[in-house]
Amino acid sequence: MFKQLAKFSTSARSLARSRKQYRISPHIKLRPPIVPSIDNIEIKEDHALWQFFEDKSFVRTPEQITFTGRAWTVQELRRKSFEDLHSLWYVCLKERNKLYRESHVYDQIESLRSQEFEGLSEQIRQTMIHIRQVITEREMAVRNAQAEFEVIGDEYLDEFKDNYLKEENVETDEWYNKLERLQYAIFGIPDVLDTSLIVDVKFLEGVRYIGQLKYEKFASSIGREDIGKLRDIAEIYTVFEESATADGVKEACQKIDEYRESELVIPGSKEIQVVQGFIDDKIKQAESDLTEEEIKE
Amino acid sequence: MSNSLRNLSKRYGANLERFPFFLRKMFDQMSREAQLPALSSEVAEVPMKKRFNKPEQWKVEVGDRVLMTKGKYRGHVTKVLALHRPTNRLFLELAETKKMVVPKQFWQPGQSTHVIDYPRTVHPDDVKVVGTAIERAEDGTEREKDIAADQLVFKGEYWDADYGKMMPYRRVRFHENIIIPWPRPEPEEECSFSTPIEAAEERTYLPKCLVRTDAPEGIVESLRDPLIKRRYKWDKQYITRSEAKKLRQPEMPFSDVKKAMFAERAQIRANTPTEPSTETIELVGKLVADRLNSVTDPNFAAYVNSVAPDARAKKIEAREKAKMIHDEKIREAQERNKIRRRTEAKYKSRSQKRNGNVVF
Repeated sequence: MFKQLAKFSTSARSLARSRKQYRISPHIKLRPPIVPSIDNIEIKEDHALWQFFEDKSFVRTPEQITFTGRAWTVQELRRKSFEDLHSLWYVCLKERNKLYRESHVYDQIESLRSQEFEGLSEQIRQTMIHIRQVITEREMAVRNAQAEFEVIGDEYLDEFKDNYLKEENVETDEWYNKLERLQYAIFGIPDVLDTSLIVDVKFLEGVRYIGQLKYEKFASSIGREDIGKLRDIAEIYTVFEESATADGVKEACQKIDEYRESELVIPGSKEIQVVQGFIDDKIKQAESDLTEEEIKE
Repeated sequence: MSNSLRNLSKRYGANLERFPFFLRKMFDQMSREAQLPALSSEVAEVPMKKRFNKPEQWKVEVGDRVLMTKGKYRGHVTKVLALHRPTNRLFLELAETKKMVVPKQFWQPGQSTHVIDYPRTVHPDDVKVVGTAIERAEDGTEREKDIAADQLVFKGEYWDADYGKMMPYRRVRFHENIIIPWPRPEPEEECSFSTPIEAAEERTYLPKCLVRTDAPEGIVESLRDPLIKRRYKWDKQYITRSEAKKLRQPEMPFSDVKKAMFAERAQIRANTPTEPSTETIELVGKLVADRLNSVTDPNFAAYVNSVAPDARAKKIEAREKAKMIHDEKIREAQERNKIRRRTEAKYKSRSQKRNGNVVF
């Protein structure tokens, strides 16, 4: 059978002469070559490297990067939440990446224009340094406060307890807010529990303090001193869970009576697990209630 | 690596701050010589540390009216156009100019020649700030009058909302009740990079919890180098003795033991002699005299004599004696000269009478 010899290439010719007898298939159709051109290259709209370009332009003009502002000061950043600082950091980082790329373009042709890009980049760098400072400062302040609270914390909590017990009417918004603030400030227990919450020693400490406080305040007034000392974490949590009112504690006491019939006592090693279980159950209950309501609607 | 990074790096960049002053100056001069005259400023740039950054240092702000005290326009009142921070100098509205050749790529819009008149800068010491005072005439009419402050003092501060910072009161020296107010700055325009004021001032964080912040756990450690050799200064868990002393308030009143100690110390201080007694002085003097009198080496003896307490008086006495002898000799010589001159004149007049004036 006739075989077409590729004659346009010396390598093809030498291959044809070789023992291997390389031939191009007759079914292959030769087309004109594709000219390398920018129009032949397609880039996806959401290509990750577009983040290095402003409005998909090669370089910005010096007029586009003239600035009249200044870097964020530490004082301004102290008012911002971590979420804000985090997003500002990445805004700065992306902008600096763009500026570096563009200044590099000017550097290659040894143009002094690159300095203008670096000037703005320096301002942004200042902001980033300030963000780091604010975050470090904040964390260090919390750590210092924790260390100080270890020294004077018991005294403070005792004082609060005394005030709470002495107060005649604690079923007011003022005292509810006080309790709420105290449990969040010192034990980190938020008012509304959610799935991200992790029970730890501090949490248990808070549960114990608040539960005990409520019980001591209302036990005599509702006539339930017969319960005596709260035996374990399950009982304390029952009181903690209820509202800081006489009715709430009364309800908790009824639950404690039911619980005591089972004669279960939770050991110290299981406390965290048990409380976590209580919270998870409650969240599940709340979720199922929500879905039921949605179905009804 | 970008240019700024290269400059920042200790290894690859020539950090001029690390060189001694004279070398820095030399490099600066070399770079200035290599530059086009149009690109370099007429006056050398001031090092970063010496640049003015306070209004007290500048004494004037943009928009101030000033009286020029030096140069061609001495005595004219003009306005400050800009502060040239790299050289600590001012651009004024009315200023001397110099001819400058500008390369085409730096031409301003509307420029048609290479040679332009470029304004020269002026040092803030060569201008005086002009303010307005209200003069009240005898008939009660009020008239505004310009005053130029020879010297200024800065006393007191106030919050200037337009500048966005604390500004000092600018007073005329020796007339401190006269305050020359700072000019109003032009409002800053917003650029594409600026944040709206409301967004910047909005508060989104309030510390409410001792247990945690709103940041994820271990954020500080993630910001730090885990392999760092030295400890962070923020982690310092101890205070030094001197710091403790500063932080602790002194116990008042002092205890009896401490008071007794103070009394004892005062007693010791009072009893300790501040000057040597006469006996001690005599003893030391005797010992030193014995030692010096037993010197046999003539050279050492000469040295001892030269540093003796009366050596200087002796030296002065000898010098005065020598001077007296010298003066006497001069006086004798003058006497002799007088006699000689008289004798010569006598014989001269005689020969003149005999021969007449001889003219060669």
